[in-house]
Formats: sequence, C-alpha cells, structure tokens
Amino acid sequence: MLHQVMKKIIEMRKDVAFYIKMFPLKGHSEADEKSKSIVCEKSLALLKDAFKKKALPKPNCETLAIDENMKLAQELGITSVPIIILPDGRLLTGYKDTKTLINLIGN
Amino acid sequence: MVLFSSRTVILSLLTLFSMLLWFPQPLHAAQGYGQGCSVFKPCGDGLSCHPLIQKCFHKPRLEGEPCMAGFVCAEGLTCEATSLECRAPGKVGDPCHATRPCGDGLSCQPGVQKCYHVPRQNGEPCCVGYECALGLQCDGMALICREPGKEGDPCHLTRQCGPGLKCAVGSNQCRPVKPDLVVKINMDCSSQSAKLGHTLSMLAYNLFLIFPSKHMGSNPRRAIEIPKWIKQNGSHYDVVIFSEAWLHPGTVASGMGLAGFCNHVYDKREMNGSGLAIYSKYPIEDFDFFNFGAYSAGADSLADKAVLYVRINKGGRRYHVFGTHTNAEVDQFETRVLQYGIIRNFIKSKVIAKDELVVIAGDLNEDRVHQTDKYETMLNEVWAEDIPLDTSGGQYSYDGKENILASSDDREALDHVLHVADPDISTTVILPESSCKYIKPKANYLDFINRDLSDHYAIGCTINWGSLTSIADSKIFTQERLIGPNKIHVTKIPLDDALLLGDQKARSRVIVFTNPD
Repeated sequence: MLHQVMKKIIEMRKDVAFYIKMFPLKGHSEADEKSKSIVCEKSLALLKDAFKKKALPKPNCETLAIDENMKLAQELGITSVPIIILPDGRLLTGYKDTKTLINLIGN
Repeated sequence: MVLFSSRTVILSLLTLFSMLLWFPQPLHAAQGYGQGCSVFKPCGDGLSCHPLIQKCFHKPRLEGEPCMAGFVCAEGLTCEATSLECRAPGKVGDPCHATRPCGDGLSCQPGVQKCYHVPRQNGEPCCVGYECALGLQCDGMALICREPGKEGDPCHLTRQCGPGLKCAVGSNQCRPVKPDLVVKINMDCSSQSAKLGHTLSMLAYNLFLIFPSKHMGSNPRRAIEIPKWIKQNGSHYDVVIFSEAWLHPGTVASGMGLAGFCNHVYDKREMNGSGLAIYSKYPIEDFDFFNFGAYSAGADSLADKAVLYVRINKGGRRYHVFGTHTNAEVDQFETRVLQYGIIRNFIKSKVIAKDELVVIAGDLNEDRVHQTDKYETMLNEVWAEDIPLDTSGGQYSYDGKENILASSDDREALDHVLHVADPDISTTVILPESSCKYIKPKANYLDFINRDLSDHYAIGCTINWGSLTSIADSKIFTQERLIGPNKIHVTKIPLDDALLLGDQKARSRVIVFTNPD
C-alpha cells in the first residue's frame, strides 16, 4: 500500500518527507470520525490502525481541519484517494510504486 | 615392635582429621574433561561426573556429550532418547524423531524421518500436512515437491504444467495450450460520431455463465439478455471484456454482434476453458492468450484461467487490453500474486510503444474496499494504478445484499480496470476527467422484472489519457495542458493538521490526501 511505499522512500531519501492529510470519502460512514481522531492525536499509529480496520478511539478534540480539507479538496478538484501532490505542484491520482514515485519526485 | 595405646591411636586420628579440616583439598586433584571420575575423584569446575560412564563432562552437557535425568543438555540442545546424547536441532537432511527435533524453519518428514524446510522446497519430500512452497506442487506419485512441468515434461493430476502449457491427454506431457479461440478481428463497426482522440471507453463484466451453479437454469436466457442489455445501454463502449463467459459463448457472440461489436476473440472451450472474451468495435490488430497453468488453486484449476490480450486500433491509436480472471477465493491471495507475475511478464512480452495505453480489466478478485493491502499489492505487482471510481454506481461489484444472483451476503469490489503505469512499458497518464463506475445490468426475463443479469455487476470506464513522450510532438496535448491544470500551489496547502512521515527539515515535501476508512 502507499503507506509502505512512503516508508520505503523516506528510508532511501532523507531529503523527502510526506505530509499526510485526511480526506474522508463520502459513502465511508466512519471515515469522518476516524479522520478527526487521527488529526486530534496527530498520530501515524492511529492511521496505521485505521488501515488495518482496527477500531479507533473517539476524537478527543474539536477540529475543523477535516471540513477545511474537504473544502480544499473540492477547490483542487480532488475526488478520489490517494492523491499525491509533488513538491513542484504536480498532482498524481492513485497508487504509485516506489520506483515510479521516486522518479516522479525527482531530485 | 612399638606398641601404641588406644588413646594414642585416637589422638593421632583426631590430629589427622583436624589437619584435613585445615587443608580441605581433595585427596586427588580435580578431574578434567573426559577423565575418569568417582565420589573420591570429583570433576573440576563446570564439569560433572556422568554416572553411567564415570567420566567428566560439561555441566550442562554440550552437543555430543552424554545426558540423562539430572544431567541435562545446554540450552538449545535436546537429550536424544535413543543415544542419550545431547543433540543440536537437526539441519536439512539430518535424522529426526520425537526427541531429536529439527531446527528453526524445518520439520521432520514422517516416513523418512529427516529434517526438511517448512514449507518444502523443490525436490524435498511432501505429504498431507507437509506442503510444498508456493509455486511448487506435491507430485502425488513420487511425493516430492516439484516445479510445474516444462514443455515435454511428464504430467498428471498432481504434477501439472507451467504457465502457457497444459497436460496433453494421451501423451501425458506438458504441451503449449491451444485455447481454441474464435477470432473475428479486422472490421471497423464504430459509428461515425464515435469519440476518437485520446479516449477509450470500456466495460468489464463477469457473466456468471457457469456450471454448476444454483442459477444455471437461467444461463441460456442470460446469454441472450446480456448482449441485449449492452445493445440498449452500452452502445458507447469501444471494448467489452467478459469473464466467466464459459457457457453459450456462441449465443453471446451473436448477441454482441447485434449490439454493434463486430470484432471478437473468445475462448469457446466452455467449462474447461478460460471463460474470457473480448469484443471490440475497432479492428483487433493482434491477440494472444496465456494461461496460468499450474499457478491456479482449488476448483479454479479445473478451468484454464488465463489472460487474453488484444491490440485494438482505434482511429490510428493502439490500445493494449489484457482481460483476465484471477483465482477466486480470498485465501488464495498467494496464488493470485503468482498470477500477477504471469500477467506482468505477458505484458512485458508484447511490443508496446511508450505512448500507447495499456489496461488490465476483469475480475481480479482483490477487494478494493475491505482488503486494501492486497489490492495495493496487486497494483504494485502488475505495475498499475487504478482509475478513479465514481461511487454513484455503488462501491461493490459483488453485492450479496443487493444482487439476487449472488450466493452469499458478501459485499466486495472485485472487478477492476487498471492502467499500466510502469514508465518502462508505457508513459501514458490518466487525465482527471477519467472515471470508472459500477453498473448494474438488469432485464426482465424468466418472469422476473428488473432481474440481475449476473452475480457480479459490471464496471464501465471512460479513460481520457495523455502521453508524456508524445507531448513534444503532439498538437493535441502540450506539457502545459497535460500537467498545467493539475498543478497546485503547494504553499497554499496548510500542513498544520497533516501527519508527518519523514524529517521535518526535508527539502522535498510531498503531500498525500488519503482516506483512513
């Protein structure tokens, strides 16, 4: 999965960092609450648990971050996940393998 | 003669005893490793006297030294009951039994009582409970793990042939597959108003024309109704890929002809074939077939599951379409991974220009909704990316809650259209306006109104694409147009709420939008 690809890349390229933003898809009933829990805790471990379909704790904060992400995604024309935005602003849709993504990130 | 009184004797003995107390050394020097020992000749430090042999050995005993109750072996060693010697865990080929276990990653093969790998490697013995490694098969006659047969190798029920081969009846030798394809390829039956340019519209559909099944009584009627539905609702598709089109292939082909698809390549072998068929409105310039051979598991291996390839020429542009149907069961993921490797190599074997679109379509049996890890592994294995799904058609292609022909309550997204995105094969890119959508073909038949036509739903896609390599020469696309609309001002994206993976000081920041559910 993309998360594994990102982990591989940061091991290979110390000059690359990934900033992961939550974009709960419509039709995924629990996605919104899970996104809030993850953002409140700012926890990669929780995101990993979510990918493994584990139950997450309820959000422990009030946050508008998810609503703002949704609004931003709409402005950017993002309708699916995963979406990757490269340092130069190129937008990629869907999964990319390690080799492809490293090539696209470039130097 | 000197006489001693009893008092003198007693005093002398007491003196000697007290001297012994003052000088508590043994009467003999401590015995070394392997030297004889007894109560009066004790062993030195770190050794103990073995009662049966009366020699000194390490305490605890090391490998090859004698052992028994009270004289135990060092950690990691076992006291072998037959030899009463300490043994290290057996290596490959070493003898083994209840008190002489095998080392890590090995197990004791019943019968021959020797240690072999878990799972068994090529050439090692196998039997029920002692299975062969993935990609090998337990030859039921020799009870040895073997690689699938190569061309000319002997074959039988438990020694199947490798990809692209099949066990020939009579000679029982592995021979190249003759899939018995029905081919009609050189026509152009597209309408004048068909959308050319960089667009491919396609439908992939698992037809469930299968025997046996609870609904097989409806097979003949569905074989008629499915093409009719496509004629009424799918006239905009350029290409249609069917899987599980095992039964009534001629009926389906006739109907598809009437629906406007004048070119086809389909496997007419019915239940022992692949069940694959590809229909096109545009000329098919090339086609090929490659089966999974022995890389197929369970009931699926009774059929000849495979990849069917066509190269379509639509308005002067070539499209490479690989239709497939991989192994079905959830727990057969490892078999499917082998099949993905076969698909990948099959793609690689084709002559594909880098500015030509390559797609894989069909029932790939990875559930995008519930098995995301496996789904993404599949994408990685076939060098592909998915095309954004418009969920207005639902999220599932197999929906046991809704589809009347589905045999379980499961809801799964199993049917996919994938874009092969490996830059070594094709540098095409999918443009944002592309999308796929699950479609629910229904018809009135057999006294039912609005009845599902298969236990799967179809997936319909419109793929708008560009090519990075053709940009410089193309008047249709420019780098600006291809990438320009997608370019984002990254500095305007707030990152306060984002999770950081990597070093905060890293020079290159990549932003990822993801759904946690």
